[in-house]
Amino acid sequence: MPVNHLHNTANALEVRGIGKRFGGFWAVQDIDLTVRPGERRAILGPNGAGKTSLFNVLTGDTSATTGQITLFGDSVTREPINKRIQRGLRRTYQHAHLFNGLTVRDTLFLAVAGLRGSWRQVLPLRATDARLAESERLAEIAGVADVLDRETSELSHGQRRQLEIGIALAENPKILLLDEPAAGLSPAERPKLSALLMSLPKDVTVVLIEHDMDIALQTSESVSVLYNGRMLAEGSPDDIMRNEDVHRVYIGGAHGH
Amino acid sequence: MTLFLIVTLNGLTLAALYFLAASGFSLIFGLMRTVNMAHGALLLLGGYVGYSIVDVTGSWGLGVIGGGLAAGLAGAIVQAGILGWMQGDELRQTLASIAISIIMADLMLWYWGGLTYQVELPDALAGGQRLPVLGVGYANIRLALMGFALVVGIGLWFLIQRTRFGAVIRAGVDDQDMLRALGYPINRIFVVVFALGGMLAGMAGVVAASALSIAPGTDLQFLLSSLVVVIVGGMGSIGGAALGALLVGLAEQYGLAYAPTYGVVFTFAIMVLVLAVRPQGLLGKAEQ
Repeated sequence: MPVNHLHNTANALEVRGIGKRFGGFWAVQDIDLTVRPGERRAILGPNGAGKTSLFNVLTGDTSATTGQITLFGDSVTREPINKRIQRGLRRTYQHAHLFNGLTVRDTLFLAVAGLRGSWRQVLPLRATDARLAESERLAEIAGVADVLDRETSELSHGQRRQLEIGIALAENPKILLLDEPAAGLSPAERPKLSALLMSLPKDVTVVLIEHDMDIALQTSESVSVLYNGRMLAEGSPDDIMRNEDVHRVYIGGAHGH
Repeated sequence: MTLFLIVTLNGLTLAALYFLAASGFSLIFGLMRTVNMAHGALLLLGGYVGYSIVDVTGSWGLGVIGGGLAAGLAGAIVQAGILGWMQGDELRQTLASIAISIIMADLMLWYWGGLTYQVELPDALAGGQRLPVLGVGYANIRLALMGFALVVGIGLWFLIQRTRFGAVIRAGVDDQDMLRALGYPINRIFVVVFALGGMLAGMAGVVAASALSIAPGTDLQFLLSSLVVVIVGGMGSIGGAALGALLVGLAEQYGLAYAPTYGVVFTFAIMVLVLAVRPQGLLGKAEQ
């Protein structure tokens, strides 16, 4: 693939001047963001800061009003979500999106089959093939191998979140956008999720929205802070911890109210 | 006692027809949130095409298949050509499908006229027989209709619960966005499901034209019954469509036999009761 030589050095994600307007309201505005391949980046910000709106634009769930998005050197600003997924982008949602009525095994199977483009084969689900083996491998990684035959609606909240990450890991993702993977988890479930996040392959780029400061700072090497739809600060976890603006709007705000 | 048995059998016949009509409607509604108001028109189209095929070839089986295929094709065209362009805008789709149903009804009136048609039955299905145990005589075609609905129901259940394509449909009923995010070409899946729903409606049309008769207005009758069945049974659920059809079909026939003045009320009383107690339908899943 001679054409793609440049991509090895290209940034995983480059965002320039991204804005998203709903009617007269700018959910995010003038966002610049650069994420290196393999980087672990956390996006922090109080509720309503525009974190999820930014994610929706990055994934193609909604279209950007202004700005440019580049994935591994290719402009994807106008591409629909399924094209971006072919490029190795995966996301999870703030509120777990799982198929009720399907088992964990079937869910992971659908993910593998869909992403491989082999969904057309109308055969009994019970058949064993490579995709099924792959589904089981993903369940192992995500820590849901012991509940393979349970329906997703019967899982605990923590297991649901782990399964979501398992889905996102199907078919060699290159960049994961995780929207508050620890939201709603009990203190007992959190370390398990942290461990899962830290065990992700090192070549996978991870951008993570997180409310939980501890998880964010523990799992990420760099942090971007959004406030009122704009980028307030960027830097290492230590820089962010010392940043007075961040303390005022986010950490101060979170403890002050 | 004989009256009760006959009325019950009539109710089951009607339920079988309602199920055939509503299962496709429910499938489309459940997966795409599209209230396809042209569903009745698809059914009538299937019925007419089936009639014409039987008229020419003399083969009832060919008529059922041909009517199903014609309505399935029409359904695919409706979705791919019109409704697909408004995906996600359910109100606009509903209004557009009303327009489609009116246009289709007028085109069919132009081509087939305002006559009442009844498909000629093959010898095996004509006539009737005395049922063992129950001891009442009943028309063969009506018994066949119940068997047909049973076969279609089991076939659909197998397709949806036991195959990979069915898993894709079930996943789509639950969460369209997530399915799209997994790389599924959801627009093409929609066209396939619309074709499947249309085919079920078309076959129901031919069967309705055989067991009863079809004429302008049959489309609206079955559209209304499908709506009620899906509301009672729960959208997107084949079991729900079966249960809803059973309740509505039986209520209609018992009402007609035992309280003719208020017959119509029973159907809607069931609907009101279900909406009050279990708005998602008896076997439907609650929206999250």
